[in-house]
Amino acid sequence: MGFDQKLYDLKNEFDAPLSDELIDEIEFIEQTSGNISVVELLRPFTI
Amino acid sequence: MAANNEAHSIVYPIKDALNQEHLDETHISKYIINEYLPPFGVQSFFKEENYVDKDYLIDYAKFYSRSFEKYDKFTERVHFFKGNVSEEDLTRILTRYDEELYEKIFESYLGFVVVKPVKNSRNHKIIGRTVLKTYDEAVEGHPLQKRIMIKQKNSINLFGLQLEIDALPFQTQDKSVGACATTACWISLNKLADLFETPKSSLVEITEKSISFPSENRNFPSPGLNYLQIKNFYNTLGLDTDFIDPVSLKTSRLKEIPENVVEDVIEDIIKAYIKEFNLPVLAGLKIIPKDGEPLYHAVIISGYRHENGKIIKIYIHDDQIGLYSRVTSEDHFFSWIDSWLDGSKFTSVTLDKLVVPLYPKIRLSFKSMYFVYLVQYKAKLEDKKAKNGIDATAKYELFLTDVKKYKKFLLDHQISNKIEKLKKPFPKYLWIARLESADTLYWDYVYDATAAHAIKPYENIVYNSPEP
Repeated sequence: MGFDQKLYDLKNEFDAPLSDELIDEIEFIEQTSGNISVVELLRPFTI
Repeated sequence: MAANNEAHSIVYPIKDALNQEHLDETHISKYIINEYLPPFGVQSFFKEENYVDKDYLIDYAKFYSRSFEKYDKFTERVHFFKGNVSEEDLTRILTRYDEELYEKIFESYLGFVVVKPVKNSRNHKIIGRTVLKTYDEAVEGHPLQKRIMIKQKNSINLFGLQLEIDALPFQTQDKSVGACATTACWISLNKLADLFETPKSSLVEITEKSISFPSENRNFPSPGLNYLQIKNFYNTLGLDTDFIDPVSLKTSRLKEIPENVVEDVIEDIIKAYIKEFNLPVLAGLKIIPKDGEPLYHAVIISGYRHENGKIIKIYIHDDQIGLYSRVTSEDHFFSWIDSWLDGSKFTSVTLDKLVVPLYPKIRLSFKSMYFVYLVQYKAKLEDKKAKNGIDATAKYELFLTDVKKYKKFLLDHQISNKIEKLKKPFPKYLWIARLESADTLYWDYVYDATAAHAIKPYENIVYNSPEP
């Protein structure tokens, strides 16, 4: 399938760089999410 | 390799495989003989006696040989065939090589199971290294579905005959030398050696390396490793590990990301590591018994079946169930429906955490890449695709790959500025955010997986576009 103007327009939307505000939000959520507690880390797999 | 003792080989019908003198009747041997092998047309097997299995030999030297009870150091290797491979065929080809007969045996070969000369607490034989043919990519009766299975080339020397099976090796739990997490690490090691040239270890060696990070439990017999001991083991191989908590990724989403975009985060993780890179992912499971406290179990995710990117079932190597065992789900794989729920002993199986062993140069973690992928591609697409006339089935997928596989893929496809893109140096490891539908590839955003941040793509590739 060839590329038409609509697809180029769509791609341009994804080419747009992340804003500084979004980068800040991503970095913050990266640091604050998914941190596993020590209790969970030390729980043995017993079966 | 076979020992100097005379090796007997007698071909038996498959109905005899579960006899006590062969595989013995355990949950896993019944799974292999009654469920796993029949779809491949298994008809017969024969035993290679006095087989020296390296994994068991190391466990024997380090553990069993120092027990008061007498253990044998040799194992038995049971080989399976489809079609009518007879004892005469084997005798004939060992006497005089015959190309046609060799082809017949090669095509009929389904792989092997090592039976160890040690028994479990119920006095049944323990199954060791198991390499059996796996399912094809195409799914019979479902033309739109595909399987992506983790596998590797296994060369098998059977009395001088060179045979091959593409599969991820499996073995069951041998509690004396290692519980489920040790076995899961062992299963992953086979593929990691293939991908990153890391050394292989036996069950005893894995437990020994893991417990250099101590716990309050006995070292041997091993009651089970914890997450940090698993990480410690991979550290000893020079590998890094990505710990992923899917529930946390689902709940702590960015402000503008709707809930429905993150509900399939587990599917996104599985595809990210297995789709192209075939990296084994260790899954920590929480299993709730009908009575009593939750139990924790470790398995390896060894493949998945999908329809246009939507995962329908996953396959796991579970040392209590078997190889490539099927798992389905009604909630995007946060809860699992599998053999643990057969019977009335357990009420639920939920996915706790995922552990991904990685070459340390793959520095950009899934979590770092995932948030960018959500904001920049997955969520944005839902907004845009209606008004841009793009195929309704189009979706982004995020996956890890390496430069060799990726450049080969580009070479085989029509892309814009092809020569320039192929000549451009790429990092060794890449995260790709690809837009594709059931029958069209649109474009890739290529990220440097050896970098610390994923703020902007290193390159983008447009498929099927006219050359400028």
